[in-house]
Amino acid sequence: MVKDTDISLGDLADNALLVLFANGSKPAAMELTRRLGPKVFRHAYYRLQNKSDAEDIAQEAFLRLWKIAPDWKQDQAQVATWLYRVIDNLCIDRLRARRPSSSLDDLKNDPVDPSPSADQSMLDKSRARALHTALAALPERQAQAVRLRHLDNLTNPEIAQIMGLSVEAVESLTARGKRALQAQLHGQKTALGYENDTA
Amino acid sequence: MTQRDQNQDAQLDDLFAAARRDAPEPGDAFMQALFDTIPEPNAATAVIEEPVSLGWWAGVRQTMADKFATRNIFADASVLTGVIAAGVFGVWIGVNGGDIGGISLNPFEAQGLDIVDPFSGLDLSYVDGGA
Repeated sequence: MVKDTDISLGDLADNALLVLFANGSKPAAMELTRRLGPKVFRHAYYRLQNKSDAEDIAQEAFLRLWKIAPDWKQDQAQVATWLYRVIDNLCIDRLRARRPSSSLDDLKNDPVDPSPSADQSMLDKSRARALHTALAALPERQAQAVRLRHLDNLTNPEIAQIMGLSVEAVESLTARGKRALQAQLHGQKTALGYENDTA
Repeated sequence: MTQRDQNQDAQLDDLFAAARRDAPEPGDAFMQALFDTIPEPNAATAVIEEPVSLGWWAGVRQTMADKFATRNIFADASVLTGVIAAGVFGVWIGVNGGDIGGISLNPFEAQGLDIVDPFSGLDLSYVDGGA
């Protein structure tokens, strides 16, 4: 067995780290968590718009990952791809079970930021809220493709793997999603701080 | 792409950037909670991936290496006995000139044929080095 001290874990691919963990290396699992934990958390947050829900979902996804680790095949799938897929499914379940007003409650409880950048922060918040509202109104697959491409910054081939689609289908979904978002947000330009725009 | 399309794309990109900035950073407590989900490695349930096959000879070498590495070769008594018996038999044939209890192992002699050395004169020239 490869010892943790023989190699730099930071140089290994995600899949290799998971196989190492399955063979008894806890440091490999910690490296994988450090690498993917923040990404997985943000992905859940973009979908749920609630920090504590996103944390719960991320923890649940990692618990499932450790559980299936002994059966993981290196050539089967990418760990990140698998995690994003699990997160999406868990978010759907969470949204179905959630009270309709909970995300608004969460926003009301946000502390007021007294720093000089508070104006920018407030503007970001209102723009983010408008975007997430518009995304929620899109067909599910379109919204998922747009989130993965423009919020998680994944490539089209990565999104194709997560969604089980061809790259061309992902490109089409993303383009249609963006057009639909532009149409929805067109009437809110002034509220979103684009009043000087001539378009 | 028209100027209007470019403006709309730029505004949408701006909204995506705002949403990314607005997302909270994962805190230390959350990361610690994630680390806490990692179970203690259990050697009994650990599964090592099957190595890729290296071919027939590699398989034979690996089997022999495993036998010697585990030092259990003596446990496989039948194999060892066969190897020793074959060795002793070979030495005995050599000592007796291929004659076992009056039965020749030479197939030509058994059929009543003599063996003629086609290079009978070669011995001397070979010893002399052809000089």
